[in-house]
Amino acid sequence: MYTSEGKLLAANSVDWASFMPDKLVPALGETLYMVSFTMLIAGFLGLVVGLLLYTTRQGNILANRFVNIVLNVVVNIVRPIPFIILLAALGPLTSMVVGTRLGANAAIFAMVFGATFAIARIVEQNMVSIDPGVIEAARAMGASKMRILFTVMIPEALGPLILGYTFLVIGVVDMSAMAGYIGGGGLGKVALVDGYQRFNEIITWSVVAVIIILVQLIQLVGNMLARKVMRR
Amino acid sequence: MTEDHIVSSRSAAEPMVVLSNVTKEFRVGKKTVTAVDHVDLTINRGEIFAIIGYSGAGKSTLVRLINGLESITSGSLTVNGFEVAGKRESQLREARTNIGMIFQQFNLMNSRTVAGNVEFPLKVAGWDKNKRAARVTELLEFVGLADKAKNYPDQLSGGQKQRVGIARALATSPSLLLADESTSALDPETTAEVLDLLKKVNHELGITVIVITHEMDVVSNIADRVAVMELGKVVESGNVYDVFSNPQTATAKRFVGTAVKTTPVGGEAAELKERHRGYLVNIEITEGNTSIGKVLSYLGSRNVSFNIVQGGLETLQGKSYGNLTLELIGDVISIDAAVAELKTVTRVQEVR
Repeated sequence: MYTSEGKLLAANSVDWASFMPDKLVPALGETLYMVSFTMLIAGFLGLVVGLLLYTTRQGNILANRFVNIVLNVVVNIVRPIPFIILLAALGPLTSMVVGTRLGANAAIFAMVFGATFAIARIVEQNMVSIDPGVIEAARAMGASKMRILFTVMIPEALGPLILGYTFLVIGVVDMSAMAGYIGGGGLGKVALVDGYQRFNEIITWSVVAVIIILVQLIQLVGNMLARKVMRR
Repeated sequence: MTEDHIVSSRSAAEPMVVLSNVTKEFRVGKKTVTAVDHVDLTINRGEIFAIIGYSGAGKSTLVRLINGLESITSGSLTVNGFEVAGKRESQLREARTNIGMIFQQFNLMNSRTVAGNVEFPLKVAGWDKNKRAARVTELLEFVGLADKAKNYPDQLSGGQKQRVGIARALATSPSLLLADESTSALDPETTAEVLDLLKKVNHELGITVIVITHEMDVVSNIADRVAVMELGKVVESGNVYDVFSNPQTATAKRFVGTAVKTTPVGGEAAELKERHRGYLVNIEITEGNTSIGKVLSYLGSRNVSFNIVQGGLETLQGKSYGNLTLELIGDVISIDAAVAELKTVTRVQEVR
């Protein structure tokens, strides 16, 4: 084994002085880049699809059987596909849209695709818990559908929505690690290429440790925000 | 009491909500359920009108037809002359700002403060910020919760939540307030508080109130007129005293029975007869009937003595009504004469 400077390394030993700045830190940066862009785009798209799933339900403000069934079918088709397979299967589409199948941006495309539908379901599920009486009260006050959606439904479900999104950020971190497999870069790639494939368990586990810390931090922030919104 | 009723009966001439032949059907799977069945009803401006019925009687559906939360299947329903039937949601929106509504479960937004909840309908109605703030303060003072403006609903008691609900419903100065089982989730003491507030809304602000309830107490406490509903139909309606001092239908009689002891029947009658060997009769007491006392005071000179064994009296709209079960003791001929005499002054029923 050689480091970038050509030093010989035994399996299971790590030259931290070069591994940290050369591999781990840039990889962490790439992971954060992929996760945040994915969450930005998929977070928005998933919110839209999720709100449509919820509001087009029977008896809800935009009740529409056809739209509801179509959305449900689409979500149910995409959701069960294991992400690692979705990554490969989306290959041709990815190279058409992004121009390449490799790299962070290609990974983001596949991650957005997978995350949008997962987020849509989480959004729908959290919205369903809103007390229908509150919506009825808003209707009785003469509020329009859009006003009810944006000033009643979303604020009422905000706490659970934050927790749902937190759950999904962590899911996307997981996705980004898999994206390393198709050359997406990031922590996943380091763990896979520098750790697993070179039998260097220290690298594998140190990357795992970084991911664990990352996930803990995300959950901490999510919990804090949700607690602030729900005041408990 | 009397003065208020003069006011409300004087203004009672003007109809505010008029239902003509109103029917509401729901589709449940392949079946059609008729929740409101050819109802005719007129609610007058300035009165407190109660609709009483057991759950499933269709009263909550009926009240939702008034502000268009549910659409009318057939018939006509006007509020202040505005026809609600056949209107689209967007057309109903403006009408709704003139109709306040409060709910059994209060239906406050937990994500907003008390002030935020009361402010919401003002935002919907497009009030500007300064006017909104002043109005919210005024409303919270009216319901006695000025100090809770910055609290969240989950920090309030049930009674306080309902008072916020009332403040919110009154925000845009509606002429009509719909109260859907507004005290059913509250304990008796808080119920009285909320009912007093509804009376205040009616008397001080002149707002017409339609109260949906399954509690006889609510009706006898605040209503001027009442409609009794059963299986989607209005089976009895009229002045509260008239309906409940002389109930015609089994449903109305059952409601009266929850407020006062009525004529004993079945096991209760058998048990009474076991304990009292005399002849048991039930007599009806109505306001202003002084003849009963006269007849009873003469019974002694007719060789009949009596005991009062059971009964109940209640005051409705300042007038009393109820039932007394008497045990008459004496020989058969004297008792027959006494019963005959009682029958000339009130309704008498033998307890069987």
